[in-house]
Amino acid sequence: MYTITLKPVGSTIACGPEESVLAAILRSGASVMFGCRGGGCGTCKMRLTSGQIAHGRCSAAVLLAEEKKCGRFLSCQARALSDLTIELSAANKYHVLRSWRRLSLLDC
Amino acid sequence: MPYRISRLGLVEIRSLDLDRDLDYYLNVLGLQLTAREGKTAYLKGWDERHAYSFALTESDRAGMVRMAFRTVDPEDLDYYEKRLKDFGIKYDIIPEDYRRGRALRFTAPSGHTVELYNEMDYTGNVLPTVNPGPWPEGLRGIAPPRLDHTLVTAPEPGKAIEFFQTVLEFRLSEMLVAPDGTIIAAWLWQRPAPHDLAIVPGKPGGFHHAAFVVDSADALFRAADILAMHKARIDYGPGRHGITRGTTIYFFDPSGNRLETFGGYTAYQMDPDSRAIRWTQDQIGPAVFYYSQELNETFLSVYT
Ligand code: FES
Ligand SMILES: [Fe+2]
Repeated sequence: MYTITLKPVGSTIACGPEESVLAAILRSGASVMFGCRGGGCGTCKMRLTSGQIAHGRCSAAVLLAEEKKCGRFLSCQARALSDLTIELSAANKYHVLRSWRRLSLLDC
Repeated sequence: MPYRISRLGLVEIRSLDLDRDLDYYLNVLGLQLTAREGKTAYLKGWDERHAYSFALTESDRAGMVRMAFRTVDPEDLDYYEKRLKDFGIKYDIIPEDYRRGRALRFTAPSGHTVELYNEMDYTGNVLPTVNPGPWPEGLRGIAPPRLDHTLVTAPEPGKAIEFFQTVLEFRLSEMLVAPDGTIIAAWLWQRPAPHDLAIVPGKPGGFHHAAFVVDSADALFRAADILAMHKARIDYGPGRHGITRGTTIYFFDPSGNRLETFGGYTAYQMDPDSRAIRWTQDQIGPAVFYYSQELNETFLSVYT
């Protein structure tokens, strides 16, 4: 398991080696904007500020080579190869789901 | 005005991984494989009588390569060639393509590559041509009988819609209009069904979806079951469109191209003098997704 730190919200989540970054975020009880989940539409694009990822299969039309160089990646395809820090933008529409908050209250 | 286009004959889209996606198209969507030639696979629904209606080509991106319409008669191809000339539209003549005769190829104002053709090998459907049963046994996946329509995006939808209406003589079945009367999106037909092609606002050459027929409510829910059992990404549905009245599931292939199972069984029939239904912009929600009454976040923003 790797740890992903999501900025600027500051939350940290766990990410397995086999799951996509998107899957890890959704599994943590948060919602984030995504579309096709196939590397084709670019809706799930995020920016990595530290750590190593494997990009997976991404459409070159929505993840340009220059963007890759600046740390952009498609979260529905990318796998973590180390602990990561990701800088979310407003377009990612990240928010923690209230229903999950309630569920975690029940847990404790 | 006679009908000169019999159907949307071919949609070709790009795949990021042909082996992976072909497995999905054959076993989850359940199309029939006609042939795999190099980086392209030629496919069709089990009830289609020509060699193929769908092509999947490996590429570094997703999205549409081209759409092709089949003319009713061979002479209709000459008719359209003359119209393209009369309207000053540049076109290429494609002498032949895989199991297909001469085609006219041009770029629509929406940025899409469009072809018109008449001849394609007549292979028959998968049933015998003498004393056939009503449907074949042993199909895999959703197994739609045929391709129905495609929806594409255009930066200036009004111009693209006018092109298909004026030059190619498509009729409007339904349209979404702004308060000032401009057409924002349109559903276009020649075959007597609600649409062969639809155009909504978006980037040039954008591919929103290709739709395959499901012919009953049972088939629609069975399709949803199959998609979920295979962990496919369902975008919307099962539901119903206000526009066309068709039932629907939107979902994505593994490369992120949107597909639809379209239940035309709930839709209406066209008459030659059918006039376009208008939807006002403030009612775009029920126009697209009748039950939820609102657009989802992905409808206008997610496509390839
Ligand atoms: S959701 Fe479409 S590329 Fe990730
Ligand atoms: Fe559709």
